[in-house]
Amino acid sequence: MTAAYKYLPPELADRLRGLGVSVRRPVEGGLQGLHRSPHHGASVEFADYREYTRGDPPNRIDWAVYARTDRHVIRRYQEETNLRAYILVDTSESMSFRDAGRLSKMDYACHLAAGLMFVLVNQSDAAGLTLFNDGVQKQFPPVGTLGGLRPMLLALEEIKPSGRSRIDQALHTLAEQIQRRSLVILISDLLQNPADTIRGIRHLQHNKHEVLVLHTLDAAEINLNFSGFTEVRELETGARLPIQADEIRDAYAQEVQKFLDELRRGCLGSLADYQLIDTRTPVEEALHAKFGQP
Amino acid sequence: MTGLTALNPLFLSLLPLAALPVVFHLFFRLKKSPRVFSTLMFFDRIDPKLNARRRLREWIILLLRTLLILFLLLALARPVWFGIGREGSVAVALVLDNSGSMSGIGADGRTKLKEAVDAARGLVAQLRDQDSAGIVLLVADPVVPLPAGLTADKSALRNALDRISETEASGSVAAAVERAGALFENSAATHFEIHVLSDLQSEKWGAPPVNLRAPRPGASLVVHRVPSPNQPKSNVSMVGVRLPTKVILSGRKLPLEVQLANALNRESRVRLNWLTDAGTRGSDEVILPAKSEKTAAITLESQSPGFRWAGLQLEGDDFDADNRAFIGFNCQEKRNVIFAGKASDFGQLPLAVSPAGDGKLSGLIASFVEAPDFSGGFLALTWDTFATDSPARWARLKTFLEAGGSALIVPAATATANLSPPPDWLIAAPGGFQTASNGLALVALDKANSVFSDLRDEKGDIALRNVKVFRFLPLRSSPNATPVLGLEDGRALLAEQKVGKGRLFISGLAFDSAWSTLTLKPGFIALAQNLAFVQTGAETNIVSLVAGEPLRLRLPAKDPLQVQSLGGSPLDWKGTPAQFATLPRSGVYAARGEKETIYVAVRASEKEGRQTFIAGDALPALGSLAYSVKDFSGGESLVSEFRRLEKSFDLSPLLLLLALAALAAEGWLANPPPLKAKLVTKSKPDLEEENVVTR
Repeated sequence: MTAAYKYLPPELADRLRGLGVSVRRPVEGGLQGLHRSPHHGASVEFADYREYTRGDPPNRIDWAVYARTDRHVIRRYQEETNLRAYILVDTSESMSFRDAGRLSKMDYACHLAAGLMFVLVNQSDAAGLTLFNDGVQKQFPPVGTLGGLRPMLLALEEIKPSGRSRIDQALHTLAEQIQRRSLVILISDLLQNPADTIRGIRHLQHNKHEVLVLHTLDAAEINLNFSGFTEVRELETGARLPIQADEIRDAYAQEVQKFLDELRRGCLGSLADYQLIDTRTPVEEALHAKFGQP
Repeated sequence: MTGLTALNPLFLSLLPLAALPVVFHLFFRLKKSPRVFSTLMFFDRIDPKLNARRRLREWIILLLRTLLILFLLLALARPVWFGIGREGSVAVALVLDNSGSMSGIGADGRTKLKEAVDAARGLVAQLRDQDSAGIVLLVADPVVPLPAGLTADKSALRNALDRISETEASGSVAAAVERAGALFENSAATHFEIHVLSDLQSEKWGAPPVNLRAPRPGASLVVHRVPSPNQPKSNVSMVGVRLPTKVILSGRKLPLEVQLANALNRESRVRLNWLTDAGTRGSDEVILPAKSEKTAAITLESQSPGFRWAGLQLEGDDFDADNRAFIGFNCQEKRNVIFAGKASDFGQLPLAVSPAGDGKLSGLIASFVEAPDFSGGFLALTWDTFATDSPARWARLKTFLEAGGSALIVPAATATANLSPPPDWLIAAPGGFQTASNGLALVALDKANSVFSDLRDEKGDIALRNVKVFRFLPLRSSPNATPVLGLEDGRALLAEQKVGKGRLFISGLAFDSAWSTLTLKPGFIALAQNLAFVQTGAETNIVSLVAGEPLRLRLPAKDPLQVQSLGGSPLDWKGTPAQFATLPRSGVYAARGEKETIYVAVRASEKEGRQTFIAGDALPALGSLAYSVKDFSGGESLVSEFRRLEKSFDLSPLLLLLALAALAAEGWLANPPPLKAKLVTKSKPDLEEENVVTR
């Protein structure tokens, strides 16, 4: 790990060392880890009892229970495994927008992704990266070492936002690809129909993946910060619209609020974790707010 | 004037300015780059038709802004609908074209001016008690007693109309319209009309005006075109009469050059008649080819001394208003030639000037004095005259010349030494003596000079040939001096200098046979006498004018003035110089002030005979004024137009209201209330709420 990584400078990495990513649902890792697995195995955390069956090692019989109940049962322990996290970064052209924020949404998302990968690997979990716009563009399987992050960090530096975003399509694709229960972190401005986005999230949830949505927006997208008669050009399509900003400012803010509420409710209903992040917030502060100690 | 007329048409020419909002809109739209934004989905959610509505409203606002400017400009143009609306007292100014062209025959066999005057009488008869009228003539005529300003006195108006008759002058349309507009300045009438009756001759109506002052706002201007159906079959006009350029002596023949022009496409044969103040008559037939000019030479009989005049008239063509000319001139009985010095100093010059000495032959009386008194006559001086008391004599000579005297300075025939230096004001002075034993040719350097007037042959060559010069003092002259005689290499030996009103001839050649062979030539006599007869600007009590030209008298404006005709059109006018405008007819007039009398010879304006008339409705002479042109068909047409214009409806208040309405609508559309979302859940997104990471 060198200071050459654009999105993971040493000072950021230093500030993220104390963070930890946890999941609410069991995950299926490949190694022993910190996270709950759906399987039973060797650990210190008791899970439940089951009837002894032929073939079980006799030394696992709980003799204390036999003494009380006259039944041969064996004690089972919760298996603890490591976390496999897939980080999805939206690279559509709308992510290149920057107005009030200190970074463009794309740069901000890349910082978030790099920081999360570092935090995950630092706690012995595995992190993978998927770049998408209207489809999956690049995929990197989860790795558990800092050295393994290198190609992903370099890939982040090469991103040139382009194309239109089809978030739901990327989520469906990923849901079909990931076999084990994993953590899926979606970093995007989610500028599409919220219902489509929620459908993709539900697909992941249905496949028993934990989903975390980091919704990055520039403050100027939330509240119009210009006035007067202006012609607005959309980044992804080039479509133009003349508007009188003062005339529609309040209505615009209300529409944005409706959009955010819809996303928030949709994520809640899908048991996904949702976080709206303003790009004016420093990246480490945003990550500390989400993953730091309460 | 048609139903709808703009009283300030200048603003109509500004109507294209109404397109400025559209131009600015398109221009700034091209210049302004759009603002990049991540998505339009929220704008579309506010109102899916926002774009279309915005564009529609944008164009409606542009339309309203265009209408606003349009209505304002139209309101400023003061459109008035004549024939409807309010009726009130009328002030009418009748402008009658009494110029020479109106003496042409009109549709009913009378002159066009008679038709116009009759129509004006009809209009005056229609005036009601509350109405008032004024009469303005295109050519001011001192014999017409025009009422001062507007009047309701019909008899005064009729009296003026009765006295109006044809003139031979050209007039200024713009000046007449301005005078007509000035009549309205203090009027309390509710309607103001100017009716112009004219044949619209191109000479007067075709030239644009300079700084034409418009009549008061609301005044309507109608030009009634009096038709000119009868074109003359032959028309010769008198363009000018040229008098001799030297002093006119009584008892001598007076040759005149009369310039005639035939503007028509056919040959004209006319008779040129003349009459002098002494009653001498003469006549000559002149034939002019089509489209040509010709100079007819006539000779008047001897006159007695004093102011004399002659009148010339063309007879035999179909248009009479450009056929007369009068000239005035002063006749002298004899002219004194004063030689300062001895006769031998001047060589053969005294003999050539006055062969008999008493003026019987030449009209010139030669006398010899020791020292000149610079009191009058033609002075012949030698350079030796200024040898004594030089500065004082030069000064007296200069004063004499500036007052209109004439003089000649020659070297004495016996002079052998170089001459004393002349004063600075003398722009030609002789240099050192030079001789040529074989003789150098003497030639005329200024063939147009009046001293050669009787020496030119038919080709214009001067009849002084083979003149040799043996002794001479070449003149060092400045460019302001006019060389008259000189050598073939261009060196001047006789030059002319104008000093004030006078003329001075400076010679570097004595008129003696020892100096040149000039005195041996027959033409020398004519040359010498022409020098002595040379005319200066002293005789300025005679003014020659074309009829209608302003007479500028150098008399105090409030001094009494009497103008009487001596010949030609009768006139006996009394007033002050400030009141007198012009002489509209040919004749000879004496304008007598308290201290001096000025004689004015007037000829008819040749422009009035040009038979070209404006046929369309565009009258350049009225510049940017609002007017309408009506074809005159008798007094009824004038009266009916007068009646129609009695009623008018001013549309400008209505247009102003429309402009205000457009302004209000534009303000409402351009500043709409803020839009509301269709379904409001929260008033504003709150970035500080719990589930948002922000600063």
